[in-house]
Parts: sequence; structure tokens; C-alpha cells
Amino acid sequence: MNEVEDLLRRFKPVKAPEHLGHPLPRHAAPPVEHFRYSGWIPTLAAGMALFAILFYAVKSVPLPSPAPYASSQDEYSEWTYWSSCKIGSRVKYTMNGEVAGVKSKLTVTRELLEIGTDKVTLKTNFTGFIGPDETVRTKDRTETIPKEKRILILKELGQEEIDVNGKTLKCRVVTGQGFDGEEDKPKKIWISSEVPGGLVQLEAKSEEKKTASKMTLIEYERK
Amino acid sequence: MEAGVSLNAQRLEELWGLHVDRLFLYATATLADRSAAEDALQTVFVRLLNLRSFPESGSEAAYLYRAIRNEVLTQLRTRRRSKKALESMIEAPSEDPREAAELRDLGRKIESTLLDLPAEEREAVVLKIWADLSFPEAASVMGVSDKTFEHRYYRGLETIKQRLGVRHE
Repeated sequence: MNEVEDLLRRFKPVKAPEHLGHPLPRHAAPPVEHFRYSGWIPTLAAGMALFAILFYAVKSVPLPSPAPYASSQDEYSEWTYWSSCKIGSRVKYTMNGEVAGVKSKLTVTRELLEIGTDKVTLKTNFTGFIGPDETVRTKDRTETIPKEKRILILKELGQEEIDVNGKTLKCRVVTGQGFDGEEDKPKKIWISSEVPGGLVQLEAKSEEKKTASKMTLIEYERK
Repeated sequence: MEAGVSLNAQRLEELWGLHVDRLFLYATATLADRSAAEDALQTVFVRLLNLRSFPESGSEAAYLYRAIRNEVLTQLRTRRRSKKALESMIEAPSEDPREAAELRDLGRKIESTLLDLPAEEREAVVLKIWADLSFPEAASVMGVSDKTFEHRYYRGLETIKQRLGVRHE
């Protein structure tokens, strides 16, 4: 059996994806001696926690869309929603999250960079802290949202008015289930067609994964 | 590894650098889903971050694989297997373009054969070949006796051998 083992051992695992646990840029962090919590210096660890929180959050960000953008009231393509805006349209959220006891508070900014026939591209910035030391860090990434991504609206909960930056938005409130179908947990979402991307507020919680996150729109500009 | 050994950020980073590619292969091969494998790795390392020390004695590698295995089993229980196309899990570096192309083809064949194996045989082969665990370590990860593990491992190898048409020298 040695020849099979030798053959298999010639092959090495491919590199794990770079985004997986990639640490936040060190230059964005204050010197190590400034950390208040001496038992935990968040380099890779913070990156992993941040990624985990963002992983769940970003999966949650794409939203069901109200008319006139949605092709159906029961299903939404985020591409359809963003592609109705002009380049430079942007949104800004605060996001409070918790993954397995690790808490975070972030500001998330998303700006529309490019509209394609099969995808939209957004520039996203995360600024905030993860874990007990509350060290503020920042990270930029480019998100590509393909046209085929869909989210299912499970239940209509009614309408609510929410004030954002001095303006009252009339929101449609629903529970929705994410792109991964049965793999994702339902979340409660507040939507307004005036906002790029549609999201005004989002609450998601998973007992199984011990995650909870809440996103709240604080600024937006639709061009 | 002694129980209660400190698990600070530096040690966690070392463990990550040392094991991430192999753990990722193990999770991907078991779940047949790269995205879910990423999810499993993140969940396990975030948990480790909160532990601050290893909760049990034994090899660190075996503990990590056991933790990934538990997370994978949870995912398998709660979600259907994704139908997303699997990207490459393994590769064999070569500077000769012709050989590289042949190895790519062979790699795809190995991956395909691997994914067709019964789950327990596939897991045994991945743990032994790519995680490079000893028989006792790999058996402890799967929660079976050394003998049971060896049976699964050699059955898996035999199937791969037949399907790839590997001949005795």
C-alpha cells in the first residue's frame, strides 16, 4: 500500500483562503504597550474574531427588496437593488456583534463602485474593536455581489418609521432567510427603498452558533 | 500537551500557521463544501480564543482535529450538503509545465475518488495522509480504536488504489 501513500503524499493541501483569519493590518493598531488588557493581544486572534463576526454579518447584509426593485415580493436579488443606484451611493451602519462571547462594535461603510450586468462591486470599510481590549482598528475590502444571489422573505411583520440622520424612513419589516437557504437562520430586517441596498436595520441571532448582531443605519446617500 | 497549557494570541497564531491548510483540507473533504469548511475553522478558533488554555491533555494537533470534527458533525446534522462546486483541495508543485498539467489531472482524479469514498474511510485517509497524525492520534480524533481506524484507512487506500489503477512495483 506504500505506493498509494507515497503518491497521495506528493499532493499537498492547497492554501487556505487568504481572507480566512487574516489579521487586521498592524499599522492600524496602537503600540502593544497601549493595550489595556494584557492577557490577550489581538493580532491574528482579533482578525479571526472580526472575520467570524463579519462573516455572519455580511451574509446577513444583503436584503429583501420592496417594490419597485424586487422582481418578486417573496424573493430578492441584491444586485437588482444596488444596480438601481448610481456609482458613489453609500450607506453607513453601526454594528454590534457577539460571536462565542467575543463582543464587537463596528462602523461599516459600503459604497457602490461598479455596476455590471451580472454583479455589483462595493467598497466596504470596517472600523471598530473586537474583544475586551477595545482597540480600534480599520479594514477595507472589496465586495462583489453576483446577480444570482437571492434571499427569501419568510414573513411580513408590517411597517415602521425609523429616523435616520434627521429623516424619517418608512420601513417594511420582514423576516428573511439568507443566501444559503436552509443553512442560514432567519433574521429580522427593516427595509426602505430610499436607502441604497435597502437595509435600515437588521437583527440576527443564532443560539447554535452563539452569534448575535445588530446593524443600524446612521447615514446614507443615494445618488 | 498538558491540560491547562496557556493559549495566548501568539501560540494561537503559531497553531494557525502550522495547521490551517491541513485543517481546511480536512474540513473541506469532510463537508464537501469550502464555505462551510471556512465557517467551521473560524468557529473553532474563535472558541479557542476564549478558552485561553487547552482543556485537555494529548497532542495539540489531535485536539484541533477533534474540535474541527465536532464542528463539522454539528454542521452536517443541521444543514444539507451544499451543491456548490468544490474547488481544488490538493496540489502537487512541479516546475515542469507538462508534469504540472499531468499532476493537476491526477489531483482531480484523486479528489474525485476521495469524495466518492465512504465518509469514515475518506476521513481516515485525510487524517493519516494530509493531517499527518499517528494511528493512535487519528483514531482518537475519530473516537474509534486503533484497529478500527486502521481498517478504515487501509480500506480507503485500497479503493483509491483500485480506482487510480496504481500498480505494485
